[in-house]
Amino acid sequence: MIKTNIKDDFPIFKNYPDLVYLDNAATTQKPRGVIEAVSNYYQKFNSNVHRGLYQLAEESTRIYEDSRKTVAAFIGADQEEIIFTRNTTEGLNLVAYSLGLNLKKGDEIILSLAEHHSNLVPWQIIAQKTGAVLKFIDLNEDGELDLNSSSDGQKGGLKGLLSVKTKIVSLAYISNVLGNINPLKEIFKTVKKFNSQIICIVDAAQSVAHLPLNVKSLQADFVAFSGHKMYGPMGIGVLYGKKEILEKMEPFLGGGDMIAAVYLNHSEYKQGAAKFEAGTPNVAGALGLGEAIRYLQAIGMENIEAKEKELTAYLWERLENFPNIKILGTKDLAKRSSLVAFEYKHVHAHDVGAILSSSNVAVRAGHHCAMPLHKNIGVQASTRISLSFYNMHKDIDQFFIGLQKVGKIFAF
Amino acid sequence: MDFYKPDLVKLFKNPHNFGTLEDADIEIVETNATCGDEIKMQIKLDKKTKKVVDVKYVCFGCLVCITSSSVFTDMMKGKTLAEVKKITLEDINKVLQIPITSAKLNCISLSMKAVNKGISQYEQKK
Ligand SMILES: Cc1ncc(COP(=O)(O)O)c(C=O)c1O
Repeated sequence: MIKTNIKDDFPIFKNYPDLVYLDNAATTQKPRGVIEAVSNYYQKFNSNVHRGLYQLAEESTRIYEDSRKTVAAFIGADQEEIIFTRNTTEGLNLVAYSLGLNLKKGDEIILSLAEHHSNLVPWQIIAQKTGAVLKFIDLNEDGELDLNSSSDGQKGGLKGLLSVKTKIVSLAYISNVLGNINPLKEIFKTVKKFNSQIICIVDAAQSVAHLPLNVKSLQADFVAFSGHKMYGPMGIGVLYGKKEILEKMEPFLGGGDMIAAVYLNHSEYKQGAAKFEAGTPNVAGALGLGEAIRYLQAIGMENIEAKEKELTAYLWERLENFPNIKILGTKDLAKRSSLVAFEYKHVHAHDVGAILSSSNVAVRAGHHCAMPLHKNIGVQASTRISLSFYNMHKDIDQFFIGLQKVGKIFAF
Repeated sequence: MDFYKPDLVKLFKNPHNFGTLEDADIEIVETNATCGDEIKMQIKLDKKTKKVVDVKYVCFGCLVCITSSSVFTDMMKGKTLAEVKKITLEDINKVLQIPITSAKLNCISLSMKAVNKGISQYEQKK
């Protein structure tokens, strides 16, 4: 059970008691403990890591490395497999550049039609540089990934797309538009059985705060996520990378902290995650992220999942029957997360969003960084509600008051 | 609520110059990067005077986008391309009178961006 006054843990709701925040997929609000940890760091520990010989620098290094352990334990990884980044986008770019630039002409990268731009654009860049080819897993009518159909050359079912040329499969765990939870365990099992050398990458941006994650049981080689979407600070993110693969990869950025020895014309690099963390890291952010994870663990991921499922069902029941609304993604609630995007017939998503805003309801409206997906499903822009365990029935009721206003203003 | 004044909603539902032209001299498609909306604009010029005799657009946009495009296209008629280029957002907003927030800036300027791009391309071709 989650305590009923859980919002009290989040200072923003004290500052804006009437705020109905339903844009948690864009970024979550921060609990007091996280905000205090960041502030504390600068007041009590601030000093650069991995270099100073004085006490403060020791402390700072310890804090940074402790956060790495916290993250590792949270996702079932070893600490040398945790690379701190700025966000999901940087993590995916790191893999794309460090690993993808070794691809050869004709090698194939499998994505889906429902990817966020951050799991598409880096691969487009790599494909253009190397001559590798992008292939896309198609979606069925409910937006679920097609696992079995044959390929038309560019898109198709997973099984139809897999070939001897497939080198990389990179997919979102939860679509930030459809809200579908993709069956990645099953997908990666199929992929690894087909060829264990294929690299499996997860964009976990939308899942990490909502679903338990174990990188080993998922058979993932890389997993990227952002601290700010899991109650941590902005500017800190994580890339998990399997040890054996990290050892073989070239660095992404070069500079201080990632080197073992530097000569005039070449350098030797550190091993493991350290090879990929060039320059002064975001230590306060890492500490804040560690605190966010401790906060989530104290509540319990099972409790979070249960509460968000209940809230989603409450939202769904009314939204599904609301006039002129078409919900995107699967109708099977068991396969959905707590984000729901919809189209309001004849009314642009920007207008829906602006009218909701006048009722103090914060939602996202637009293409949510997934233009190809919107084109594919024939929707230009959508309005998205994304729930967190701190939302209440009252928030959802207020959303519907706003939604009724849309109908009144445009009165079709 | 300032965007959703009854007269603007009325204009949104009955937009001016919405549609397509058969024989346009200038034709351009422009995308609003924040929402992905596409606008297609067509301009017909008088053969002799080179003034805008007709202009039409097609777009599934928000209220600000559609109403600003309506007002802008109304203003364009009878003007030379040089005069059209001088029309500003402020001129359009004198009619609409809405708060231009950063999120809405792209919407209110979409038709203007399209037209300016179209005019540049037309002038380069000449
Ligand atoms: C599925 C998905 N992937 C990646 C991202 C990018 O996250 P960030 O902007 O934190 O890098 C997002 C954020 O909206 C997302 O929803």
